Amino acid sequence: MITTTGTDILARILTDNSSAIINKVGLGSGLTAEAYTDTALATAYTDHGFEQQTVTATYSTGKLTYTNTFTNGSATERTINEIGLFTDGGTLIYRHVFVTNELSNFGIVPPGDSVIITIDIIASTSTPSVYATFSIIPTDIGLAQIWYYLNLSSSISSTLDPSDFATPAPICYNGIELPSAGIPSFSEALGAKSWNFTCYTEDYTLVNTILRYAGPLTTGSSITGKQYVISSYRSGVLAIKNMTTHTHDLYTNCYIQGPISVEPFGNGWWFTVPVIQSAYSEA
Amino acid sequence: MVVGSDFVEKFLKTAAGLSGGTVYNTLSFTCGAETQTNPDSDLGFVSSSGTTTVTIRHPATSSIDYFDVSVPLYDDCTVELVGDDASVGADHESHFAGGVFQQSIIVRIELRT
Repeated sequence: MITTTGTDILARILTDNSSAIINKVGLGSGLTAEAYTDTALATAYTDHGFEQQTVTATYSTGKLTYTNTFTNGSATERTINEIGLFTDGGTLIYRHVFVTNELSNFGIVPPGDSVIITIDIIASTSTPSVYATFSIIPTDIGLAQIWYYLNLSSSISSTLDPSDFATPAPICYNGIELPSAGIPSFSEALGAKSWNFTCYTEDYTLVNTILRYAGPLTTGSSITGKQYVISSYRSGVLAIKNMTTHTHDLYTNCYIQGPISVEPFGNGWWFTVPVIQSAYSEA
Repeated sequence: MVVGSDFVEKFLKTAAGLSGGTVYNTLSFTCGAETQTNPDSDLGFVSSSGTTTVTIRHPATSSIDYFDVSVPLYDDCTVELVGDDASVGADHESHFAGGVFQQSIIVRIELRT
């Protein structure tokens, strides 16, 4: 939403009472609900490519568009939960807190990967609702008042595409390694596939990273016979290295079915990851 | 009443620091063949470069005069430009019904979100 301070500074800019320009975009991990009274991001990133970036807007028919690519230059994942548009002096004009699943991959950007953020600020005018004509009383002080409304709105879109994520291991889901994965079973329905991967790791952090993608889902066949998946999670991308081409084959519209049972095995943990592909893109 | 088609464009470009923007600190004022029953004139915002961007159009228009607004006022989200016809020539004053010699014009643009 466009903040109160944002509206105020827009009024000042309109009347030459401020030399500020709106040209910075910032990211944050805060989840505090957005409010008109916001003056800053709740928890702003300040480094490694996620700090505020200067962005030159483009204009087209009543709309300013700010688009920027942020690349996670840190050594760890970074989660985007909020975004802000600022003036060159740092005044918050607009803040948006992403709702669950609004961003792919829970808004998580792996190290070295990127997200493209686009913010539109839209303005339109409307016919005045109040219009008082000149006074016609002789010798009186006449007064004419005309109200115009400049309606401001905003929209946001993002591109956080797991298809673009790096694949550091032979088998990855959204760029996350399925450790020591083997494929004990594979099946193919019309227009989609299903896999079961047996995995082993001695690093339980990696187990937790995979488990966050696992959720209950429903599968079935559509009227055309194609396999569909219903899930409250966003779809992901499974990458399997092709030993012939030595590149990863990507399978989009995939889901990890949970719950996943993790068993201690030797010095680590053993678990099976069911991945089910839908023939349809998520709605 | 019409709102100039370039008003939004100039405003947004100014806000973003793009070329082609302008600020609004002048009121335009035009007197035509006003009558006592319909004494309004053409008036509205004019960009600093003199381009009319918001106009209240009266069917019978003549010339356009501009006069600077002393200091644009704002209160919260309301932009208020106030002009006074003291700086408008006598010819124009004569168009006001009943010989009104002081005419205040307030044009507000309210930013709504």
